[in-house]
Amino acid sequence: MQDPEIDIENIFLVLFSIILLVIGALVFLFVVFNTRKNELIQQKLKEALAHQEKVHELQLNALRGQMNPHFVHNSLNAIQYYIQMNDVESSEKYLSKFSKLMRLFFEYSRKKQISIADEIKLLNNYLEIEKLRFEDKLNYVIIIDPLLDIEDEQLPVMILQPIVENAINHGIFHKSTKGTVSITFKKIHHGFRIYIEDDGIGILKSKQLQKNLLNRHKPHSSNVVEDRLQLLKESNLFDISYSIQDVSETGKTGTKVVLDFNLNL
Amino acid sequence: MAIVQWKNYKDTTERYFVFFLLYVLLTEFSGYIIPHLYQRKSQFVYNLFITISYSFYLHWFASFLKRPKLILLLSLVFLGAIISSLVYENFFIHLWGYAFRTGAVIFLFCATLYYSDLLKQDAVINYLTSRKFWIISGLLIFHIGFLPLEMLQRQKGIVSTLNYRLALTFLNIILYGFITFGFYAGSRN
Repeated sequence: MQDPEIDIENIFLVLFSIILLVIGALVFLFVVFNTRKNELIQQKLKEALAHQEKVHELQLNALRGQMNPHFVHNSLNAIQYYIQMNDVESSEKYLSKFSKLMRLFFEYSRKKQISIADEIKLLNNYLEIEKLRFEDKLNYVIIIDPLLDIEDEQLPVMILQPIVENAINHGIFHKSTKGTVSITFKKIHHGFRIYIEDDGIGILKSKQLQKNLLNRHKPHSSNVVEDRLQLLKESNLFDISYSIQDVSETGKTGTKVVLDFNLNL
Repeated sequence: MAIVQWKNYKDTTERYFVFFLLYVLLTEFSGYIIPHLYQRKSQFVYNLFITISYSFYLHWFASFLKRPKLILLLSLVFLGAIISSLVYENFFIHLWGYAFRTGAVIFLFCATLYYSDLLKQDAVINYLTSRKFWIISGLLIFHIGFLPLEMLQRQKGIVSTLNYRLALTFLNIILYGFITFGFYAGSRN
C-alpha cells in the first residue's frame, strides 16, 4: 500500500510534467507558425506593393504616350492649308515646329519626370504651333518666379500640355475675340505652384456648349490629367493637388487651373 | 461537430474522419463496458484501435504529404511493429507497447513533415482555419504527453493508475478539443 501523501505528490509531479510539456509544445508550435505567417504576410504585401507600382508605372507610361489625336490632326490640317495657299514659308515654319515638338514629345515620353525648364521648352513649342493655327486669335505668356530653380525642380513629363490644350480648345476656341493663356510658375514653402489661366468663355459655358453639341463625353485631355495625377499620388512619385475654377464670377471670363506640387513626400 | 460540418469537408482528405471518430466512440464504449459486463480485460479493443488508428493516420498522411515511398516504408515499419507485438505481447491481456510506440513515433515524424511543408507554403497565412493543422496539432499534443506517460506506466510504481487516468483525461480533452475546433475553424476557411 502506497503512502497517500507520496501518491498525491506523485500525481502533481506527473500531471505538472505533462501539462508543462504540452504547454511548451503548444507555445513553440504557435510561435513558429505565427512568426512564419507574419513574415509571409509582409512578403506578400511587399510583392503586392511592387506589383501595384509596376501597374501604375505601366499605366503612367500609357497615359504619357497619349497625345491628343485632334492636336496632330489639326496641326497637319493647318500645314495642309498653308501648302494649299502656296504659303511655303509658313508651311515650312509650321512643319519645322511640328517636327521639333514631335521629337521632344517622343524624347520626353520615355522619361518619368523632367525639369520645369524642359517642360517650358515643350510648352513654348506647342503654343507656337497653336499660335500659328489660331493666327492672331491666340496669345500666350509664361511667367516664372525668380525664386524658383526651374533647372532643378522636377515635374511629371507633359503634365501641363493637356491642361493648356484644354484652355485653348475649350476656352479660347469658342471666344470671338483674341484670347490669352497665361502660365505662371511660383515658388511656395512646400514646393511650387503652377497657375494656368485663360480668358476664354469659362469652364461652365464650355460644358454647356459640349452638352448642346450632344457630345457628352469629358474632354480627352482632362481625363488623362486626372488619371495621371491620381496614379502619381498612389505611386508616391508626386503629390500634386489639382483644382479648376471658372473665374467668370469675378467679372472677367475664363478658367483657372491651379496645380500644387507638394515636395514633402 | 464533424457530423454537423460534414458538407464542408466531404470532398477533402478529412472526409473519413467522421467514421474514424465514430469508431473511437465505439472503442471507448467497448473498452469501458466489456470489463463490466464480461469481467474480462478489454486490452484487445485498444490493441485493435492502435492497429486501425495508426493505419488510418498513415493513409491520411499519404493523401496529402506527397511522399508515397516514405509512407510505404513507414507502413512497413509499422507492420513490423504489429508483428512483433503479435509475437511478443498477448493480444487479449497486454496493451501492445511495440505497436503503440512505433505508431506514435511514425505519427510524430509525419506531423513534423506536415509542419515543415506547411511552413513553406502560402497556406500558412490561414493556418488557424486549417482543419488539418488543428487535427494534427491535437494528435501531436496528445502523443507528446502520452508517449512518456505510457513508457513510465510500464515501469511499475512510477505512475499510479489514478495518475495515468487523470493525465490521459487531460490529454484527451486537449486532443478532442483541438479536433472539434478544427472542424469548426475549417468550415470558416
